[in-house]
Amino acid sequence: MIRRLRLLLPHDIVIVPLLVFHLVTVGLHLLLFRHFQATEEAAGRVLLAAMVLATMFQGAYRVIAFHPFYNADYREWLGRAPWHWPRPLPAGPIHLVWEDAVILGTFTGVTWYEAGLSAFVLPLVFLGVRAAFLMETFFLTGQRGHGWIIAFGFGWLVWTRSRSPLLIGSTAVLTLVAELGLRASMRAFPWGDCRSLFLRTCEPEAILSKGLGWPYQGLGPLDEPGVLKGREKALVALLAGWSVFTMSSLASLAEDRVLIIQYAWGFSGMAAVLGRLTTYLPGTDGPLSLAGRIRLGRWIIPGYDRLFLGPVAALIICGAGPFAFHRQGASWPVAFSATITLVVFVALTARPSLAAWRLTCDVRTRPRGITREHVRVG
Amino acid sequence: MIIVSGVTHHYGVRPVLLEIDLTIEVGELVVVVGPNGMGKTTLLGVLSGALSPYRGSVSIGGLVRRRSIAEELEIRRKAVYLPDKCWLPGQLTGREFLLGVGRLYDIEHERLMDHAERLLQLFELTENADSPIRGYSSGQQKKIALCSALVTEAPVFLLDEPFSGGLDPAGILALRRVLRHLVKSRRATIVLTSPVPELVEEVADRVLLLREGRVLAFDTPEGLRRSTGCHGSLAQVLERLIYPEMRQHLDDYLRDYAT
Repeated sequence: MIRRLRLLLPHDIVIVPLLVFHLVTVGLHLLLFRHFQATEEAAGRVLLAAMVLATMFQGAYRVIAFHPFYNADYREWLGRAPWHWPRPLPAGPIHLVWEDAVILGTFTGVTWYEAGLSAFVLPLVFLGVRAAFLMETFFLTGQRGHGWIIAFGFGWLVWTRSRSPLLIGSTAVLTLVAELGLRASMRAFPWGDCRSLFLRTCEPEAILSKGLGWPYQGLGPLDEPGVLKGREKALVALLAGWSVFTMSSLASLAEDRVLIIQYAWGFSGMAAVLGRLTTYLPGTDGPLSLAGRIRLGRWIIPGYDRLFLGPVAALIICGAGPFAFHRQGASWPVAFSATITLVVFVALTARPSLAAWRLTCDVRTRPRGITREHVRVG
Repeated sequence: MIIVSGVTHHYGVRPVLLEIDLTIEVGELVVVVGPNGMGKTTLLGVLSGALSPYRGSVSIGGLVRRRSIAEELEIRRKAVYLPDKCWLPGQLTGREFLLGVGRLYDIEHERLMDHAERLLQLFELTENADSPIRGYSSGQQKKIALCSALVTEAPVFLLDEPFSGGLDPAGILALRRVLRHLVKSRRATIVLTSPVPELVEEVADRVLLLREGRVLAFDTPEGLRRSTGCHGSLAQVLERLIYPEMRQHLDDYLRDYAT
């Protein structure tokens, strides 16, 4: 048992500083409590914060340290070994095992005894963080459906946080989805070209072209499919609005909530414009300089200037959307969140697509992705 | 076949190419010559798709450049472009670079390995084949860039000043023979630019002369000789066609200061 527990806990290099940190916080706790007459509640918060952080760390560690996705050497070795699901993973289990309950039970016991925290909080934090790290793997190993359920599920957990039975039930469902996704992911191992996982594509040509310099990087015969497929763009947009709507509910006052949403709304407008331009413009120039446009009277070059239609549309929607939705009877939080969804959707789907822009629009293609590693010839 | 129709291109106000119309047949090696700044590189840029012309169109093998994603990708598979100034991945070895480019152009793996090895031998890069490109001399870097274009086995090559950039005589000789062989045996279509007519006289099927953005002449070397009445080297023919003022200036200079 001790051996298994040692396996599932981080290395001593991590444990020792954490223990020191814990002892310091306990000391601070006692100091606040005894010498500065801090309320027990205030002093307990320090310990609570430390324990929540430790639990989050353990949740992340349980995925990062054991999942072949996060360790290239381990993944490549495992890909060559005669391993297949459901054999035990050589480096240790990623799925939940009873030793996790022992570790979490210890964390929970300490926090409950010293800070009076509900016994459910730390397990929920642990499961949530673990699901978040598993979610990332799902998007890149082919279990995107599981990934999307978890992504939307986080907002739901925040939304139901004050209703314990619902929160616990929802976390259980999310954990089940994460487990099912993990099984499907490991069953699909190996996941193709391992390097491509981190380049968000499975095309070996795409990987090669990223490092081949100019002219192959930019003028090579390489389709550049976007990271997101059509339906997923809508899901990303919905997720943006949903996340803002649910996360803003963490604010205790209604005014604060609207303020938070307004910040997110303003940010979404800027991100739509900047994100679009910074994705499209690198490696391309207009066919004419500004002086050339003015002197030749070609104020608008349709084949180039269409790039700006998407950002302009996103800005118009961003400005007018909340008022239009509110006029239709939506509350301000709903109106702003729905606008954020629309703005993100327009930014992601407006024409031209990235491939169409680079391959068919009136652009001057110039070297892009050139780093210090590249050498200039000629 | 490459068809250039009514191509006009400006960078700023000054037009660099004006109403260029050309047809380059399959299996033809065309050399674009002309004084500096007359639009050779711009023309190749337009042919390669790096530049979108202000007016006009380019079609290669019946496909029109930049008309649709599928067409453009197909053209890019068929036509490889090597600019006079390129950026190579310094951290890759020469061999890795060639294999990477070959994979990009869907060359079958075994054939690619063999072809890369042969090219490395041909351009005397075998000793450096497994060293990072950043350690190559400038001539060797030029050679590996040329090898990368050749390893694609594309039916159309667009090469901007392939003989410049520190290429040694052996490299020049090898490249000239390889290009001539590609045209003859594989019916490859090659368009290249060169500021030095002597280097390309032997290999050119036709010579395209550009001056002030317009086509001054587009004919075989023999045809150019006939039309100018000059039976000397291609350089002498071009001197008459492109540099008449320079000839006059030179005569004046020699008369006034060098006697």
